[in-house]
Amino acid sequence: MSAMAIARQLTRSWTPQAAPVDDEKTLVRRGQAGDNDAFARLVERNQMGVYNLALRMTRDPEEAVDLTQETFLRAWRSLPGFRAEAKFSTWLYRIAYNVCLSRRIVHPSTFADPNAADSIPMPEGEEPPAVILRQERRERVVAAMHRLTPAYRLVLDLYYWRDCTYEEIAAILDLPMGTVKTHLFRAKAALRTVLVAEGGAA
Amino acid sequence: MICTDIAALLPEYIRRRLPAAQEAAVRAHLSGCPACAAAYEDELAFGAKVRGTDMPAPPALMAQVMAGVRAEPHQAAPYRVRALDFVLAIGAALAVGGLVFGLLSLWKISPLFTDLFDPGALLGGSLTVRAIILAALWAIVGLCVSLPIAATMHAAIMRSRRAPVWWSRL
Repeated sequence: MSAMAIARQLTRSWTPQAAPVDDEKTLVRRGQAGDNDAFARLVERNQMGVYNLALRMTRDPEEAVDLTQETFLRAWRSLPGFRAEAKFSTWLYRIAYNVCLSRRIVHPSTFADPNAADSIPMPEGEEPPAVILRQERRERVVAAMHRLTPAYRLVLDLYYWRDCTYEEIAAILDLPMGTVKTHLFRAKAALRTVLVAEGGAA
Repeated sequence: MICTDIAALLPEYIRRRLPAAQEAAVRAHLSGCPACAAAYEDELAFGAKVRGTDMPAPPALMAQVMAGVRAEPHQAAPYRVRALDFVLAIGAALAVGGLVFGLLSLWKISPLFTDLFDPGALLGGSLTVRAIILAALWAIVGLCVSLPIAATMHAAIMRSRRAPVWWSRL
């Protein structure tokens, strides 16, 4: 092996492997440095999750778009302070939750005491059950979710649709994990009740 | 584990997010308990039912979000201390100190080359032992000099709230 070849090999082994450009941490770092395009990639990847969470909470597509926009704008403003210890999506959901709080879509006291949630009456559904019956499964679940309280909708959405762990939900809602489990348990029971009451086997 | 414990673990068991020992315990319990096995099937069906597909985001959403983002001035990231900063600062200070002492030695004005400062000679050691003792002493002196330099460099970076570009890339 020639000296040049040895030098080349040494150089190669010393050169750190370039991180994939699409890696979430890389995109976050670039976004933190002010790279709009990197942030656009993060928006592209997470817009569906945030939009659907917003839709679940607002029940109105236009308001959901507005809430999603505000969430991403707040994320962009706070991105320099984001510590990449949590998943970017979890951090976004926490911001979305804060937007919901500031818009009074959900109230933090709802989560403070899991037992208190029981006493909150379920809002009346907009659609008569006969219409719901004819709807597809997806629409039935969406309609049933819409009849639950905002707090129940939020925990169920985070667990079943956003696929968050208990720890992540606890971090998003700033609650102890035990409380999250209790809320989730009750929310699930409430959803099952609504689904059964409206004709879809839960 | 009793049946109520199992019921609480089923959603996470289905997602395969339980610790291995707990997962094995649930699996063992399910194989011997028809009631819990039914609850498992029920939870599985419930999950499959509600975890429907999300709505696609409106096509214009991305452009709307980015228009807002681009209109917003970017704020510099607050600089955070990393262990590497200290290591680099100490290394840099030591290198500067070494260079200074090396140059002094060239002109033979360093105490290294006087008989006044040669503690190894008092012990009657060989030339190698004397050299090692001297090197160790100078390393301690170097650290005493470089630590305050490192701390000052670090404080300056922290005050500026933003690391120089070459520093951040390290």
